[in-house]
Amino acid sequence: MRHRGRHCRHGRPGLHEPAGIAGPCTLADLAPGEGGLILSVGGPPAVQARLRDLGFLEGQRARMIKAAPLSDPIEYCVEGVHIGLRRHEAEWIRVDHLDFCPYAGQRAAHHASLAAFLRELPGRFRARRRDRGWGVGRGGGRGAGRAAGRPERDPRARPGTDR
Amino acid sequence: MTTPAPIRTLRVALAGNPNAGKTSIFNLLTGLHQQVGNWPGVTVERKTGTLRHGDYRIEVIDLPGTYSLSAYSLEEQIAREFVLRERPDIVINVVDAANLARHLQLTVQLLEVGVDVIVALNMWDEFEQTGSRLDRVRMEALLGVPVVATVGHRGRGRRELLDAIAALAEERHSRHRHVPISLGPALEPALGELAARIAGVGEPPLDLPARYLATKLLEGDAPIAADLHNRRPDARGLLLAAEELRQRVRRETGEEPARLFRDGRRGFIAGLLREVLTQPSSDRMAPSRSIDRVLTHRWLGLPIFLGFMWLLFNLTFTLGAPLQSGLEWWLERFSGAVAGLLPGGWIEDLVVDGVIAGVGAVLVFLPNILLLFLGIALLEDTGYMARAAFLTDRAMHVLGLHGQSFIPMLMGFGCSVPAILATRTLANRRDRILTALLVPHMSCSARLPVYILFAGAFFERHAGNVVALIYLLGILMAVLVGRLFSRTLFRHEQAAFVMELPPYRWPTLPGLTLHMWHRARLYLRKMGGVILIASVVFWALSVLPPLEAPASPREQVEHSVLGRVGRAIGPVIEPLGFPWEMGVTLLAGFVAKEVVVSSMAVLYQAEEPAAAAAPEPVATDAAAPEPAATGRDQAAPAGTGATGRDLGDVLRSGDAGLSPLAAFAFMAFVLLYTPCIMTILTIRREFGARWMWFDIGYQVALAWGVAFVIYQGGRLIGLG
Repeated sequence: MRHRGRHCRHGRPGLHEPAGIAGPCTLADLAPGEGGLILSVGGPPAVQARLRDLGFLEGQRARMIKAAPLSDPIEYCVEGVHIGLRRHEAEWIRVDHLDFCPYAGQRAAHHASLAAFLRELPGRFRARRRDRGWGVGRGGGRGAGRAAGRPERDPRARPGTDR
Repeated sequence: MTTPAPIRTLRVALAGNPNAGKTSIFNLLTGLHQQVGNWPGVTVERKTGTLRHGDYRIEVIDLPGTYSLSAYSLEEQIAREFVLRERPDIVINVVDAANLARHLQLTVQLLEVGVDVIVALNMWDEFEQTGSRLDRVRMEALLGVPVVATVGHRGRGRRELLDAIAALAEERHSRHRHVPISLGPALEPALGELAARIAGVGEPPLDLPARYLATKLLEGDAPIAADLHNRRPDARGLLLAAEELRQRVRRETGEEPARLFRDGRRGFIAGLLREVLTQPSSDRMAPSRSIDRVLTHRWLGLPIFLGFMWLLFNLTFTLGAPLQSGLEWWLERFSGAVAGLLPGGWIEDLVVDGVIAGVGAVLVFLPNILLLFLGIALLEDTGYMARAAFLTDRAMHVLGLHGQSFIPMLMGFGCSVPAILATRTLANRRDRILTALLVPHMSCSARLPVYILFAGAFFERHAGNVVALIYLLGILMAVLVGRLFSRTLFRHEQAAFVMELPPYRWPTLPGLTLHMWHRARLYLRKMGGVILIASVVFWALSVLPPLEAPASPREQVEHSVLGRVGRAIGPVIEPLGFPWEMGVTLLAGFVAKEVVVSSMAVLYQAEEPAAAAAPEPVATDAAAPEPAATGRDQAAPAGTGATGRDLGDVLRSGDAGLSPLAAFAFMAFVLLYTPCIMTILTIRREFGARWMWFDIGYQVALAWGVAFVIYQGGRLIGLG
C-alpha cells in the first residue's frame, strides 16, 4: 500500500511526532502502543527487586502493548520481552511519557488492527508453512502477507536507547 | 575386556530464569530417569535425575526457576541455598539465547559465587532464525566458562553438554578459568577492602569465597548478614566494616549500593554482548503479537479462552469416561476371577473389597489424569497458559488468587484429584495451597448423584434450579473463603505478581509424552500405597466387629464401628435436621461422595427386596467408588440406579425423617464438606499433614455452619 510504514501501530495513517512528551506519569497510565522512559521504580523491596530483575530499570524504555479484557493485567514490552503486570504494580513505575499516540486506546483502533490481521492471515499461513516455525517468515521472503497494515514496530519506537 | 575405570559421581545443578527452557534441558539430559519430590520443608517441586556418561555417574538436580540469586522469593532462597551450601560440582546455567541481556544476570551472579558454570545457550534455533550471530569462543574467553548451544525441546546439544561436563570435571577445559567480574570504579575499592578484611579473619566465614561474601555484605543482603552474625561471632566486626563501607559508597556516589551492583552487572553484560553479539534489529515477539491480536483480543479473547477450556474439560472428562468404564469393567472381571480363587469368608472380602477395590480406586482416575495433563502440557508448551493467566487474572483476583489458578478451579467441577495435581503448574506455594483449598468447593461430578437423588425426591418441579443453586453456592463459598484466607492466613506472603508472556512455540511430541508420563507415574507412585491402606481400614471399620448371622446388611452396618460412630454423632447433626442415618452416610461419604447414595440405600431399604440392588455392606461400594467423573449429565451410578428411585420414594414419603428444607441443607453439606479420601490424601501428599487436617477441619466446620444457617434460618422464616 502507499503509506507503507507510515502508520502507527493502530493502523492509523500518519506518523505521530516523536517524543511528544506528555510529562511524567506511571506505567499504568500509558495507552496501548505508547512508550515511556523509566524514571524510577518504587514499592516494597521484594516488589522492586522483582521488577528490576524483569528489566524494569531506570533508563529503560517500556511500551504498553495492551490491557487484558477485564482491563487488569497490562502487557508491557521491555527489552524485547513481553510481561504482564497488574495495574497495582505498574503504578510503582514512574515513566517519562514518550511516543504519545493520539489514536491510542480508541476502540476503532482495535478493530482496525484485527481487520488488518485477518486480511493477511492467508499469506501469513503460507509463509509459515514455507519456513516451518513461528519465528520465521521474516528472514525469508518478505512476502505478500506482510506488507502494510501491520506496522507493529513503529520505526521510531526503537531509537538508540536499546542498544 | 579392560578393567572398568572407577565411577565418579558428579552433582550437576540446573539453574536458569523461569522461561529459559530449563525443564527441556533437564529432560534432554535425564530422559526417563527422573525422580520428583519436594525440597525439604517446602512444597516447591524438586526434580532429580541420573545418567551415565563415560566414567561418570551424573546426578542432575533441577533448581527452581529464578531471575536472580537474591533471597526475596522462596524459589530464589532454595536455589541460592543449594548453590552456596551443597556446592554442586557444576552448575549448568540455562539461558535463552535470544534474550541474553536479561538471562545473563543470573550467570554473572553464579560466577560471583565461584562455582563451576556451564552456560547452555538454549533455544539456539530461534536465535539463529532471527539472523543473529554470536562469537561463542570469545564469549567463553570473556566469561571463563564453557558455552554450549542447545535446543532443549528438539533434543539438540546433549553430547556437547555432557562433553563439557566431563571436560570441566577433569579440569582440562581449555578456556575454563575464574574471571573476576569488574563491577565498576564506584564499587571496586570498597569490595577489595572488605574482601581483604574477610580474608584476614582466618578461616573463610560461612565457607564462602571472600569476594562473594564482600559483595553480599556490601549489597546489604539480610539473610547472609544474619547468618554471619549468628555463626561466626568472632567475625562480627566485618558487619560493622561493611556498614561503614556502604555509607562511604553512598556518600561518594549518592546511590544505594544494591543499585550500583545491579548496574555493575548490567554494565559487564552490556560490554560482553557488545563484543560477542551481532544482532539485527529483529523482534521475535512479532509473530506472537499477531496471534495475540486474536487470542488476547479485548472482545474475542475471553470467548476463545472459554472455548479452549470447554475442550480441555471435555477432553478430560467426556473422552476419559469410556476409558474409565473400560478400566472398571476389567477390574470387575479381575476381582470376580480372584474371588473365585479364594476360599471365601473374610479373606476374600479383604482382598476383593479392600485391596483390589482400593487399587481400582486409584487406577480409575488414571485416564482422566493422563488426558488432563496432555491438555495442560499442550497449553504450557505452546505458551498459551501464560495468556490464559493474563486473561483470567482479574477475575481470579476476586478470590485472592491469580490467573493461573483458573484451570485447576475449572477442573474441580470434574474431579478434585486431578485438579489439585494441576496446581503444580502454579509458581508459588501460597497460590498452590490456597487454590487446593478452594478447588473442592467447585462441585465435582461425584456429588451429582446425591443432588439428583435429593432434588428429584424433594423438589420435583424445581429440581434443575435447586441443583444449579447448589453449584452457585459452591462458587459463592469459594469466593468468600478465598477472600477470607487471602486476607488472614496468607496475608504476609506476597511478591510482585508478574507473568512473562513467552513467544508461541510448536509443542513437540517427546515433550508432551514426557510431561504426561511424569504426572502419571507421580500419581500412581504417590497415591498407590496410601489409598490402599485407607480403603482397607475403612472396609474394616464397616464390617468390624462382625455379627454372627446378620439379618440384613443394615443390621451389620448398624453394628459396625462405623454405625456406632454414626449414632454417636447424631446429636451433632440434629440441629441441621438430619436423622442419625444421615450421619452414617456422611461418614461413609468421607471415602467418596457416591457412597453417600449407596450407603443410604443400604440403611433405608435393608428390609425391602429392592435392596438386592445394593446387597453388600457399605464398604464394598465405599472402597470402590464409582469413577468421580462419568460425565455431568449422567444420573446416579448404575449400581444404585435401581434403588435410586425407591430410595427417592422413601425419602419423599417422610419415613427418612427428612424435611425438604433439611434435604436442601443436606445437599449443601455434601457440597461443602471434605470431598473424598483421595482428595484429602492428595492434599497431604502435596502440602503435608498440617494442611490436610486444616482442610478437613475447615471444610467440615463450613459445611456444618452453612447447613445450620440454611436449616435453622429457613425454619425461622417459616420454610421448614
